[in-house]
Amino acid sequence: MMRKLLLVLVFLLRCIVAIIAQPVSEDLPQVTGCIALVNAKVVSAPGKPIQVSTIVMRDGLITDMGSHLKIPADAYRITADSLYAYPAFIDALSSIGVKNPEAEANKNTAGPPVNRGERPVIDEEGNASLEDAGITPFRSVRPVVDVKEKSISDWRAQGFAVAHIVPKGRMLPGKGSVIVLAGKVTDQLFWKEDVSMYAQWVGAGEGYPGTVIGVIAKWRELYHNSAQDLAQLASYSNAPMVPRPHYNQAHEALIPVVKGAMPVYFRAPKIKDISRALALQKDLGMKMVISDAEEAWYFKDQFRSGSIPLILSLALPEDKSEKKGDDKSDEKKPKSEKSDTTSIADSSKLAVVKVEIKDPEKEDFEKRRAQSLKEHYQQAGVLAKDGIPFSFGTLSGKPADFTKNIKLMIDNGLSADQALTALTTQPAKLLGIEKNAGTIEIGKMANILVSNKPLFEKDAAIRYMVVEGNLYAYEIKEKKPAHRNETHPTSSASANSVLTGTWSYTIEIPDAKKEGTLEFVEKDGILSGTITSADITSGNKDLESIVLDGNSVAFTFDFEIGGQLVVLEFDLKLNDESFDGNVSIADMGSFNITGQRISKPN
Amino acid sequence: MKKNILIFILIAFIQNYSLLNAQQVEKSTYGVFALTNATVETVTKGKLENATVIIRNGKIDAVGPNVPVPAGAQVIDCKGLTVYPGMVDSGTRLGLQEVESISVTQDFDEIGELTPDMQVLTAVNPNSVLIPVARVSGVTSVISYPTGGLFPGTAALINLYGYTPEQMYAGFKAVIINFPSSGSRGRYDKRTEEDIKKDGDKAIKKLNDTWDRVKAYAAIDSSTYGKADYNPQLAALVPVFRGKTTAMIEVNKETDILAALKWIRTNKIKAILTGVAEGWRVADSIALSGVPVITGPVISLPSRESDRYDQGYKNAGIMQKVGVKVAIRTGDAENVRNLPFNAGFAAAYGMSKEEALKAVTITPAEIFGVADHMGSIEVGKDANIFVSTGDPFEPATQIKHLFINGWNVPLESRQTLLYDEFLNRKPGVTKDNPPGKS
Amino acid sequence: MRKFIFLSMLFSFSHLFSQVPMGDMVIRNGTVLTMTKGTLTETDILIQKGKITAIGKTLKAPLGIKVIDATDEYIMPGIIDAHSHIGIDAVNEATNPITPEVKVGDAIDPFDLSIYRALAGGVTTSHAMHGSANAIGGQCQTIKHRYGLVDPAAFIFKDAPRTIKFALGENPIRVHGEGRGVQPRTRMGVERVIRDAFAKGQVYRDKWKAYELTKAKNPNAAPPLYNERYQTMADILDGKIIIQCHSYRADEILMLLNVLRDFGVKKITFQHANEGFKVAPELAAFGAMASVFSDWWAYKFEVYYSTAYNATILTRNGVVTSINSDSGEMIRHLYYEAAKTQRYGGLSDDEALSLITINPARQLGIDAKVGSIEIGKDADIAIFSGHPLSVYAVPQMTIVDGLVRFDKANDPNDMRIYIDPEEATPAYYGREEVDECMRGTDQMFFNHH
Repeated sequence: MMRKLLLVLVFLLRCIVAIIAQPVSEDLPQVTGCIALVNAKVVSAPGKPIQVSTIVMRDGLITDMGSHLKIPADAYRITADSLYAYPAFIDALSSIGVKNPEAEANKNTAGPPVNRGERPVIDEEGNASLEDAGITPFRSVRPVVDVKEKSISDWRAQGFAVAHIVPKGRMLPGKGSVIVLAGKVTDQLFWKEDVSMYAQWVGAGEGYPGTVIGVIAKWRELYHNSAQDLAQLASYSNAPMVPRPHYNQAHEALIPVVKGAMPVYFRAPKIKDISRALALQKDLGMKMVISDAEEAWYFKDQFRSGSIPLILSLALPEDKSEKKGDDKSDEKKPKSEKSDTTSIADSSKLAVVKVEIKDPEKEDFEKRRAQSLKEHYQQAGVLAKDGIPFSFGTLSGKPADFTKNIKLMIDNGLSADQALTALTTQPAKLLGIEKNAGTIEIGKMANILVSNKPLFEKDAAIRYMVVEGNLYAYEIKEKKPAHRNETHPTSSASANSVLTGTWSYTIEIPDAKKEGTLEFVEKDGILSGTITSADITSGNKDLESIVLDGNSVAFTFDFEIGGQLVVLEFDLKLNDESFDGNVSIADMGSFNITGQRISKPN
Repeated sequence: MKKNILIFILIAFIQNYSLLNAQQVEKSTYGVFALTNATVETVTKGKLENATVIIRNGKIDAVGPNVPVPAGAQVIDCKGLTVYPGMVDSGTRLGLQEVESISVTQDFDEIGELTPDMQVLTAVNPNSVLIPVARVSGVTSVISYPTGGLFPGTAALINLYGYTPEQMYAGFKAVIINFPSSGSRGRYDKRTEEDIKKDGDKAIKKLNDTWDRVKAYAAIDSSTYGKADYNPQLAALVPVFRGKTTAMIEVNKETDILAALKWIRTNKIKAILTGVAEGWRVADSIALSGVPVITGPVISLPSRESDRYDQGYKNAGIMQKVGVKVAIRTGDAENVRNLPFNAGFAAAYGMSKEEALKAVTITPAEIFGVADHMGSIEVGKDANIFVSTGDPFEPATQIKHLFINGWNVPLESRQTLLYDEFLNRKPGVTKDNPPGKS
Repeated sequence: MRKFIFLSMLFSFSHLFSQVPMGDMVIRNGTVLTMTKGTLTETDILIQKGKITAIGKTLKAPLGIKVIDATDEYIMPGIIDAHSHIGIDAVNEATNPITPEVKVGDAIDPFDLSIYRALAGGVTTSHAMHGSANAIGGQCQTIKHRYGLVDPAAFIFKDAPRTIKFALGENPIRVHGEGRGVQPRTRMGVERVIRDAFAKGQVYRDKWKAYELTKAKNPNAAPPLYNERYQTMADILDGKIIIQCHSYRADEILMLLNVLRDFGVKKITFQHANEGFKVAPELAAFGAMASVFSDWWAYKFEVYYSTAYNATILTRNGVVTSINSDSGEMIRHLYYEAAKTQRYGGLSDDEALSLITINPARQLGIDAKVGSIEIGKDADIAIFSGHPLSVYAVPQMTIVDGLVRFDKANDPNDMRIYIDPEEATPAYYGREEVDECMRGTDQMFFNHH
């Protein structure tokens, strides 16, 4: 399916010229295996004071650091007088570098089956095969990782050097590994293989187990059988006259979990996901890490002891009160309609009555929604304040939102130190790599984040990333002065003028480049847009959900291929006469897009 | 306790007795009836005690405390009983549906968006098993209405006795309009908010486009003296356009109700709002518009999660209290018998009992313009009457007699026949008849 | 302001995963419909630590205890719904004709507003059931309506017996035979599927028994493969689980009785049982119970030959009968559903109210704790403005474990607990009808009914 989609996409977005914006780092030759970061302001670990220091790195390790060092002659020197150095981030749970499983990912969302032939194959008990059921704990993430995945460079650019990655799938997709976000070939990425079991509340749809209750029942049975197998394996090797234990790939794979040797990283974003995972843990007793949590503050008591580690999601709910809330069709009535009401009644009293009755109701909703939103933003701060340890994981986050979301959490009670802890030492401890990573110390892996300002401060940006001694440099683009309307970005003509007009674009997809034009127009403060390409000869051309915020613009475009709707999500940064950004397509990945202005509106 | 045992013995006796007759379904009778010693709830003229009601030629011939019993009249002693006008359910699928899950027994939803020419009366099945079940609760007339599409068809008021649709027809028809909704169809409506809005806008446009054509067609119809081209759909709407036929406009969501009121005003048509689940939110606007309302079922969930739990129960009362003319419907087919209980719930949650009774008797008659011959116990009106042991809204009350157009209809349905047959099933479980294989 | 005080009292998150809260109070001067000990006028009820500790006139109560004045009001035991699907996130694991191993209790939804709305109708306990898609569905969960708590475990009715859903007739036939192309496609097939499951359960149970015996002699003996599905069947065979069987037609009810006789299974309540009245003597002889609708019929062919006199006929034949809702709407007025048995068959007040109190408690095996107002029982109580069998009676207050969980005098708008941070306003919902029993099967087909 993916191949087919890609082919169509290649066809759809044909290319003329390639303009690729890349971090400077990718082109930078690795001059030498030795780097010296000279006179940087170093925060060696969360909570440590800033010390001006020079750090020498060789063969992927920090070999020396101090204030008056002799810099090796073969070192590539980085003058860092004005720069800050931090331990690079560790991602406690993610899918960085993981390709999307082709058929698997689509099955779940493909809707009703076309005919009976497409139903999952079932055994004599009426159960789907392990593969169809999404029970593949025997799988490693290794075969589905590709060093070329854009997510690797995207997250590296946000400060990440190490990640714990897990495969995609359903209830038990497989085993996770720890990777380093640097390398030319996929093998080079891998640090520790098969360190964890990944689990989700995802049923097999039409096959058993289809729902959450089926998934839980299946867990019980699998676990019980693995425990039995474990006991029997011991008997088998120790005693005579014991039949060979029955073999089941899934039971076999779960034995380390039953032994307590392998933790289960359970994806549990919402409150009910968490309570169910905790109940399962209580029932079966496995080592569990509650992962990708968005609503963990409800369970402070359970996490306080630290016996069940916690990974918080880097995704935060969107504040829809201004942008989307206003065009919600439901509560909000067009003003004209209200006056119509009045004229039906021919009474001005009516309007007064209505205002009194209706608006408090909406205000109450807004208050409660705002309170809920606030609680989500406060999650990390509240937990940190209570001394509950947690790490951050990027699984549901987007690279583009990372800084924004961390800042939101900091604005809502999380300290910068606590944030750094959750991004460095805490995940290092969780993953058992604290001897090698998480701080800047001699002998540790050379994973360093170099920024122009103290981390998480306004306008702080990464200048360099050192990942196991590999240097990546980043250009800092000055932000355009803000001449935008903060509250109603789409209603200001001047703000919209940064976007309106015609632009050329180029999308870089594997082995090809696609190009065409985008045209944006504004009418009555409302933006609309169309896409043109030599390949789009029929169907929809309209861009939807255009949101312009300063010099960032996001929009979507959808088209149909073979009865399936494909949605392209554009995320662009405008830079006067050019833009860059990415285009993501569900289940396929994210691709670079660049473009240039062709014309301004008349 | 003693009393209960007595009643039990009595019931058992009566049942055994009627078992003998269970093979034969009793026939309705016609003639002159005198309901004597009765309490009469006239609805329009107060409550009469110790009164007599004379039924003759299908009409109410006399009502009052000192009415003489005509010679030859069949006398029904109503001591301790109350006589009520038959109840009217202002919205049902009765006669149009037999078994809900079997589409071939459903005749209320024709294909097409624009089918106002579909006549409910054509499809009403006078012999539906569901009709006697509704009747034995004191419901004597119902609106049966079609659904589906923008203009699903033409509803009819029918009496619940008769062997042909013509015998049942009670003198009122209305064209149904499903006013376009900007809301979700239900909890399991998978459409996105945007799609719902798009669909709603599309439907509004279609409604207005259709109406433009109706206007044009009506104009041609006038200028050609009725010789406009054959177009049954538009032709069916012309009387609505001219204000001669009433439109029943199904609308539920707050904003849609306001839009519908505006549409009615703009197009100057004669209309009734039906459904009106969120009427309580805009009750004043409805009252000021003067458009009558048929609402129900009263026993229903609120339309929003944030609403108070009893908003469905209260809706009818809130509207009625600010001056809206409110009639109650069940919207049901097999359980139209719950109409009195729906009225009872309205009364429990804000409406007065008197108003609740009107909402299932005289009010619908007025709304449908048939109050001259239905909706109350008055001389000259159709003899649609039931006699009960008391307040018909109370579940414990028993309905004792029922008349439709002067026909004394036996209070029998398949449900009562099954009761008669199975209360003391013969043979039951005995030594010779073990409960199952052993 | 009052609203927020109430909310903060109700939504006590601190109880999460700790003990379920219990309350103390005295209810004064009401007419008490005890269900088992007659009707007591001008009577007080003392509640301590969530239990009823005294019933009588002008009771002495500890100083400072919460007092509820029920003068001119009627007090009945908290209503029990023997068949509902509220408070759970998953209803049908419709992927196999038999799924006895799944438990809806694993997917409790503490945020389901239906729980509050049920409280507003005086219902304090409900039987959250698996759906009727499968011949043998999942295990059900008896829950208490402790709305306001966030811990799913807090809703579980402690020590309630295990129950399991079976389903006969059209639903499993449609889902599996017609929808998925596997048995059963007929009522014959339904019997076959159920017999197979029991037979395999027996084999499974025997294997484990044999293993346990061998193990005593040889600790290295190999255990059979563990199978949660047949383990559950074995538990039914061992009488550890009460069957709650969705059924309509008389013939299929008789069929299951025969199957159960063959396998020596005794505990069963037939759910819906619209034609239960036709085989009431057989049900009574077996000791089977029935939980029925007050008057639902004709929504599909297998309920076309129904009668609203069903509950009366069953009761008169000595079958323990209850009236259930199977609906988030109807659960709000079970008192009125029970009242209909006075119109259809003239049940006495106590008989009618038993259908929604002590009888469903018996069917769920919780009658030692709830279902009547007696000393020592849980303080689950509903207070009505008038006699609950009157259509004009309005529930005033509902008490669970001695704590007020619904109070009409203090009932704010918007009783949602969980607020989606991205949802601006609660949306309007039309009245699309949904067959709750078949929830979760729509990916298999589109016709719900």
